[in-house]
Amino acid sequence: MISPIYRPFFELTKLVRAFADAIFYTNIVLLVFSYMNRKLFKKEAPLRLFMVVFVFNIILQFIVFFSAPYEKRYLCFFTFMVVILSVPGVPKLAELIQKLSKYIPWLTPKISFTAVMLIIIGISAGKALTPSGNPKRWFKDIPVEIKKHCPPGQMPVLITDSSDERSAYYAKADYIKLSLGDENIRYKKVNGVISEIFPLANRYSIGFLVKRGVNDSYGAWVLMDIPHGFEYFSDNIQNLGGDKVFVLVTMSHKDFSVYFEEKSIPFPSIKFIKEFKYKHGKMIFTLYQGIPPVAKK
Amino acid sequence: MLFAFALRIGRCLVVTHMDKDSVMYIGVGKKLAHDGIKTAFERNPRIPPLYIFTIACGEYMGIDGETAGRAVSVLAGTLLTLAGFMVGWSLFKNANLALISAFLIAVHPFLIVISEDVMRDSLFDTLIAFSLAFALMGSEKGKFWQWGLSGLFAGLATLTRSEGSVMILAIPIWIIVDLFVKRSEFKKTLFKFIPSFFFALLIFCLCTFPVEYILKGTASKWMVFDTRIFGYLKSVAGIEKNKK
Repeated sequence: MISPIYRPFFELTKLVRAFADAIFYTNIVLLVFSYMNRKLFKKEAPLRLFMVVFVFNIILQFIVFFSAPYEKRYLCFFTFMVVILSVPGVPKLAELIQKLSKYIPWLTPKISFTAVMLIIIGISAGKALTPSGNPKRWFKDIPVEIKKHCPPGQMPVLITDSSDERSAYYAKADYIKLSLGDENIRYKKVNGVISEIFPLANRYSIGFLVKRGVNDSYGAWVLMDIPHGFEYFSDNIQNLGGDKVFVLVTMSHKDFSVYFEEKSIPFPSIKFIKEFKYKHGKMIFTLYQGIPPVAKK
Repeated sequence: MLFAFALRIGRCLVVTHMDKDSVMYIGVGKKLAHDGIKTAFERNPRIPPLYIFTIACGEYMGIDGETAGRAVSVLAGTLLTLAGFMVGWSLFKNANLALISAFLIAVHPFLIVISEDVMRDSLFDTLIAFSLAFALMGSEKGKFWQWGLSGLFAGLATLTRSEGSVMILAIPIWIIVDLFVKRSEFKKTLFKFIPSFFFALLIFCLCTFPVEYILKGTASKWMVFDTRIFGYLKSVAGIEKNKK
C-alpha cells in the first residue's frame, strides 16, 4: 500500500515510464544528438505549428492522465512527433562515428550512416518482433478445452471470476462474471429491465453472477435476474444450460473449494476438467463443466 | 512502406492474442453489422464510431471482425510512414531527412505494436498525422485544399478517438504565435491564415457533427468534444464536480 504522501510521485513515475517506453530508448538517444544538430530544422511557420501541436498534445496527455485511467497507447501521436524530432540525431550520430575514420581508414560517411541505420533497425525491429515475455497462452489453451467438451451444436456459457473476456471470446462463449467480492455491483436486471441499486458491499457479493452493463449501466456490472450466492450455484448452472456451462476460476481447485467450505455448502455439482498452470505455477486456472440436465434427474 | 508493412505483418505472426479491449470493439462492430445502428453502441455508448464502422464493414463482407480490425490497423500503420515523410519534408525541406523520418517511423517498436492490435490507435495515429502533415504544408503555402484536407483528417481522427480535435484547437494558437513572431507582416498573416483556419474548421465540422447527429437517435452518446475533458476542465474550474 502506497502512502498518500508518495501517491503523486508514484503516479508521476508511472507517467514518465509510460513516456519512456513509448518513445523507446534508441529515440531518446537520438533526441540528444538531434538537439546538437537542431540547425537542420528550418525555423519557419511549419516548425512553429509543429511545436504548438506538440505542446498541446503534452497538455492533453496530462489532462487525460488526471481525468481517466491512463494507458500507454494514448501516447501514439506523441511518439510519432518525438520520432520526427529525433530525425536530425541520425546524421549527427553518423558524423560522430565518422570521426573514428582517423583510426579506421575504410570508414566512409556512407558506411557510418549505414551502420547507424542498421543499429536502429536491429534494436527497434528486434524489439518489435520479439514475442512478449508474457504470451498469455491461456487465452488459446482454455478455449480449446471448452470447445472440446462442449456438446456439439451448442453455444457454451463461460462463468469466470476474471473480468478479461478474451477466453470467452476465443471459445465463442457467452460471458458471465462470477463475483468473488471484488466488484461494486450498482445495477440489477429484473424482467429484462436494468435498474440502479444501492451499491452492494463487496463482502455480500461473493458468488453473485453479473453481466456487463449496457447503455446507462455501461462500464458497471449488472446482477442477473436469478437467485444469487454460492447456495444457488449448482441450480444456476443447470438453469443456464447444464453441460454447456463452463466455470473458470483464476485459482486452484483447492482454493476454490475454500469458498464453499467457509459457508458450509457442499461443492457444486460441476465436473472438474483441468487445472492450467503458467509462469512456473504462479498463475493457475481451473476449468469445470456443468453436468448435463438429464444427469440431475 | 513495403518494409513497414512487412514488419507489421511480422508482428501479427509473432503475437497471437489481442488486447483486452479488442473484444469490446469486435462485439460492437459485429452488432453494428448484424443488428443495425440502433442498438450497436449500447455496450459502450461513448466509443467513437469510425474504427467500429470498419470492423462492421469487414463483418458485413464476411471477414471475421478480428481479421478486419487487424487489417485496418496494419494498413493504417503502414500509411503512417507516408505521413512521416510529409511531416519530415515540411520541417527539414530535405528529401534524405524526410526519408529518415519515414524510416524511423517504419521501424519504431511502439508504432509497430499498435499497428498489429485490434485497437483504434493505429488508425487514429495515421489520420491525425496526415492532418498535421497537411496543416504543416498549409502553414507554408496557405493553400485552401491543404487546410481542407487537414480539417478532413482531423475530423476523421476525431471519429476514431476524441483527442483528434487537438489539431483544430491548436491551429488558432499557432496563428496567434505566428502573428506575434511575424509582427511586421501582421495583416498579411492575419488575412492569409484566418480564412484558412475557418475553412479547415468548416470541413472538420462537416465531417464530424453530421455523424453526431445521425448517432443521436441510437444508443451512442458519442460527442465530437469528449465529455471527460469537459468534465475535467469544469471540475478544475470549480463549475461542476466531475461525476465519474
